[in-house]
Parts: sequence; C-alpha cells; structure tokens
Amino acid sequence: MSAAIETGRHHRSYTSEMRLWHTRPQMIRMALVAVIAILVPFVFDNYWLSIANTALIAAVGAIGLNILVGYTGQISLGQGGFLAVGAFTSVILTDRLGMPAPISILCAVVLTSVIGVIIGLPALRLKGLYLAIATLASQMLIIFIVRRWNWLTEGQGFVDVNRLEVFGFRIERSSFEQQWYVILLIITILAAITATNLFRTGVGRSFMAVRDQDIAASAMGVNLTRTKLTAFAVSNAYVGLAGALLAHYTEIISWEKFTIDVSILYLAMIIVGGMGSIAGSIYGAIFMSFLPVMVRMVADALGGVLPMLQRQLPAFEHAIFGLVIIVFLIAEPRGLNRIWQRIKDFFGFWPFRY
Amino acid sequence: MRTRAYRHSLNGSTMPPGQPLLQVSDLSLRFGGVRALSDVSFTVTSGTIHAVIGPNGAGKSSLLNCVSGLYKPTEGEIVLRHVVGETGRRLGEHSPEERERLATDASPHEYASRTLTRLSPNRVARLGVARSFQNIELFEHLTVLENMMLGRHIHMRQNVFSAMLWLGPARRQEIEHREIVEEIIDLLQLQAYRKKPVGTLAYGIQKRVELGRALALQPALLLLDEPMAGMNAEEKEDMARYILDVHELAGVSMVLIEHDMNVVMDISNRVTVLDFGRVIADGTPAEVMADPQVIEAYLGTEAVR
Repeated sequence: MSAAIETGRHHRSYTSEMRLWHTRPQMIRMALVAVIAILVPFVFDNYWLSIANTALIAAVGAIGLNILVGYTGQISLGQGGFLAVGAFTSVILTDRLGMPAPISILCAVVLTSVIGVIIGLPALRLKGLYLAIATLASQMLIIFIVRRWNWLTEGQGFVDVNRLEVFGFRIERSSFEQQWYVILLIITILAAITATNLFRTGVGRSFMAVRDQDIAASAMGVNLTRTKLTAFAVSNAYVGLAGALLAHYTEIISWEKFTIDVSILYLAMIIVGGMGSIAGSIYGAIFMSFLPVMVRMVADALGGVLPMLQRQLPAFEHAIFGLVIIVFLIAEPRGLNRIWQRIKDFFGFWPFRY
Repeated sequence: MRTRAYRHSLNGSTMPPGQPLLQVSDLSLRFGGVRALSDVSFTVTSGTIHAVIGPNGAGKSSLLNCVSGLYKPTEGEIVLRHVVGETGRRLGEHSPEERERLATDASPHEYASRTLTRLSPNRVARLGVARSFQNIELFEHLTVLENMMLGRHIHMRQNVFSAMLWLGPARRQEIEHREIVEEIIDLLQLQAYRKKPVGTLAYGIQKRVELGRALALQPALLLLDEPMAGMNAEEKEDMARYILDVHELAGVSMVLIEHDMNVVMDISNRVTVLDFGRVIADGTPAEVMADPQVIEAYLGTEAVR
C-alpha cells in the first residue's frame, strides 16, 4: 500500500519477496525500534516502566482481539471475561497445584482457547451487532462465575499471586520492573511475529476472506464453521496469554479487573491503533495505556488554572477516553497504523505530493 | 497470446471432452409461493462453454446458486461426473498428475457421479466447482494476489501452528501455489495489479480478478454469472477473449450466464434458455436463435409474423 518504497525493487525469488522487511529504511526503522526498546529500562524509572509493562501485556491482548475483530470481522465484547479465564487458570495452577509457571501459562492459553471456541459457537449463526450481544452475554456470564464461585478466590474475593518463578529463576524485588520488562518484551515480539506470519499464509487469508465476503469465501471452499472457530481459538490463545501474564505481573487478581470496561478498552485500542493490523494493535495498546497518565499530567499542569480538573480526574479521564475514540472513528477509522503509513508515504514521495 | 509455456493445467476435471460432465435433472426451487425454477433439466458436456440465457427473473442465477450449493433445491438432482481411475479415488481427491492423465487418456473408463444437491458450498467447491458472482464478490481489502491465493484454498493444507511459526512446509506451500497463481495472472494479464487491494481497482479489472480467482481452484466446472455485465463493447470483447483463452488453453468446461446475445452466439457451444423458471429451449446457438418460443420470450409475440 505504501507505493513509495516499491520502486526499483526487484525480487529474484518468491522467498525474497515474502520476507517481512526489504528496504534499507525498513531495516533502519526496525533497528531504531530495537535500540529504543533496549534503552527503555535504563531510561524509565519504575513508575514509567510499570506503565510500559502494562502496555506490553495489553499489546498481546490487543493482537488477540484484532485477530478476531479486525481480521475475521467477528465482533467480540468478551475480552474481559477471556482475560479472566487466562488469569485465574494460570494462577490457580501455579499457586495451588504447584505447576511450573510456563506450563500453567500454556494451560491457561489452551483453556481460554477452548472456551473461546465454545463462546464462538453463536458466531456460526450471528453476525455484527447480534454477535456483539452474544459475546457480551459471555462476558457477563464469565464475570458472574468468577464473582460467585468462592473456590476460585478461596472466599477472599481476590487472589494474592506468588512472585513469578520460572524453573528456579525468581523475579527479584529490587529489579522487578526491569526483569518483567525483558520477559514481556520478548513475549510481545513473539506474539507480533507469530500473528504476522499467520496472515501471510492460507489460514490467515481465510480469516480475512470470511471478514470481507463470507459467501464468496464459502464458494471458494473455505469452511466457514471451521474458520470462524479457528479464529476464536487463535485469538483467545493470545488473550489467555495476556490474562495469565497480567495475573503474574500484577500479583493480585480479582473480578473487578476484567469487567466490561476492559472489553471496551481493548476494542478502543484496536480502533485507535488500526483494525486489521498487527502493528496497529501494538500502537493502540501503547497509546491507550499511556493516555490516562498523560491526562493526569495535563490535569496536574492545569491544576492552578482549573483545579476542577484535578478534583474530577476520573470523570475527566473518561471524557478524554470517549473523545479519543470518537475523534479516531471520524477522522481516521483505520487508526494510528494508517497515520504512520501516510507519514512514511509523505517522506517517500517527497518532494512530490504523490 | 501464449507468451510462455504454462506448467500447470487449470482444468480440474477428469472427464474426457464430449462426455456429460454436469447433469441437472428435474430441478425445482421454491421460495414460499414463488417458483424460481420448475423441472429444469439439462446436461453440460465436458470441454464446452454452455450458456444459460433468459430474460430478467428467469431463474438463471438461482440455477447457478443451486449448482454451487448456496441454494438448496426443493426437488431434483444435480450430479457432477468424473472418471474412476485405477486408484479408485473419488472426485476432488486426484493428484494433479493423475487428473491430467485421466482426462487425456482415450481408453474407455469407468465413470462415477457425485450428487451436489445437498452439499454445502465449501464441499461443492472442494469437488472442483468454481464460480464468479454477478455482483462482484471479491475480498475487497485483500490484494489481487491474496484473492487469487484464496482460490487455491482447497488445495492447501491449513495448519495454524506451522503458519504461525513460518515453518518450512507452510513457506514452501505458499511458494508452490504462488507459482500456479502467477500463471493465471499471466494468462489474464493482471501483472500490473498484483499487489493492489482489489477494492481500489476499476470494475472491469475486478471482474477479471474474479475470473482469475475462480480459475485458481483448477475447476472441474467453472460457473460464470454474467462476467460481462455492465461493461462497454470493448471491455466485453476483452472479457470474451479471456474466457475463450481459458477455454482453449486450459480446456475448462464452463456454464456461462450472459445477457448479451451476440456474445453468447459467438463464444458458446450450447445454449439453454430459461423463462419463468422453465427450460424453453436447449441446443446449439443457431437452433436456439431460430426457436419461436425463444423469440417470443425475448421479443414478444407481435414481432413474429
């Protein structure tokens, strides 16, 4: 789509054409991103790093949601519930059954995936708004179970999670955020790469075909049932992973962290970042994670002039949150990813306009 | 036209030319009180272009939708015939080499048929029935290449894990099928649009992409629903050329719905005429044109003196 970089590039094999990055600017950009990612833990203090870590977890979850909503066109309001499934599964397996964390996280991924397939069954019949309502029901149902099933929280209403320990390696208190940053960065990169790979092969293409024209897709031999359920399974695998990571990172979980607000926040992330774009999911997750902090900073800065802002901070945050979604829906429905594309095109074509 | 040797045959049928390929018998389709089709019977011969014509609302598209499994007929049967090779494989299970050998083998064969009537659209596609749509139904956000690769869907193994890890088999499969798609791009002269999202392309090009996508299935039977609708004379001629190329180079059998009588007369081998859901004539283009019932349906009785 970015036509500017296509000129003068000749491939001699399909292998070379299928590579993810071809041109020097692309390589330089990736190197720059890598350098920044490595510098972050040295530059940021613990407060900022904790927000960065939350953003990385959100990125994994947003990639998952984007696979379902942005790429397969199946609207889901059940994100919060699915995160809860991943979180509680992994925590209960590690803390009560003494499973090693990687295995329990894997179990959480699988279980969330399976539950996604079950919740996805209505998608075989429902579309659009109707499916949104069906997944909303699943969200309510899962949160209801989490709230009322005392065994999950041993009657406390929340679960205190043990410090993460991976085969003898234990996260240290002194460098908690830094160590988590490394773990989460690696996982996010892997999530982004696997999702990107998915959409350059036949499986991912069939997801997008179902989104664009389901009748034509079935006439091309795409099994709609199988494809939609696979999409739910794959998407929820990422969401379950995000849920499990969230539980181990925040070290305390309760149902309040997985309400419908969370589902909407994740939808906002992929709308702001860009539907049907892996990079967009990451941009959106970072943007929406840093937005409340920015809002607070603005409120503090304007504290002298408008003390009302500080007093009404939660309301102010909500208003900005809503405003951002509306502005993106009107001005750039394809999100930050598209804006970035346009910036690249502008410089690619410079000094010409197109 | 033939700019280079094509390595892959686009014909997915094992039936030798001249044999009946698709048999539609006593097909009826009712939507409540509306009879869209009544007792429609006809046979498509392998290796031909079979046109289905008729006035608006005659049931042409309904007929095509029945064949491709989108509509379930109320009564009647549609069967697709194939050769039983020595391996005993059924329709849609042959390797490309085996298929080509069977289709060109002149010795007498045992034939078998497969009922399409109650299969879902994706199962019908798997048996080798590909189609295009009257109103373009491409995957608009995907590129021309991706659209055509989706035509290869039934021939590809779908493994989520090897896809996500970009493992050798997944990568090799992409390249292997890309080669066939590139031949179709070459055949239909779509090289310039390969990486363009189809939603941004001109109408005529989109129609061509849709033909290409259907061809990518390596169809045993290709169903084209008004491939020239809404085109000017020049574009129509181009499209007719492409259809003839596909027919002559690849030997694909086709069912073609078209309104333009000149096109139908020029390119089809056999014509079935529908009116109010019934077959009113079936024969060679010349025979059909001379049929008084056809003239009545198209021009009205007053014109016949």
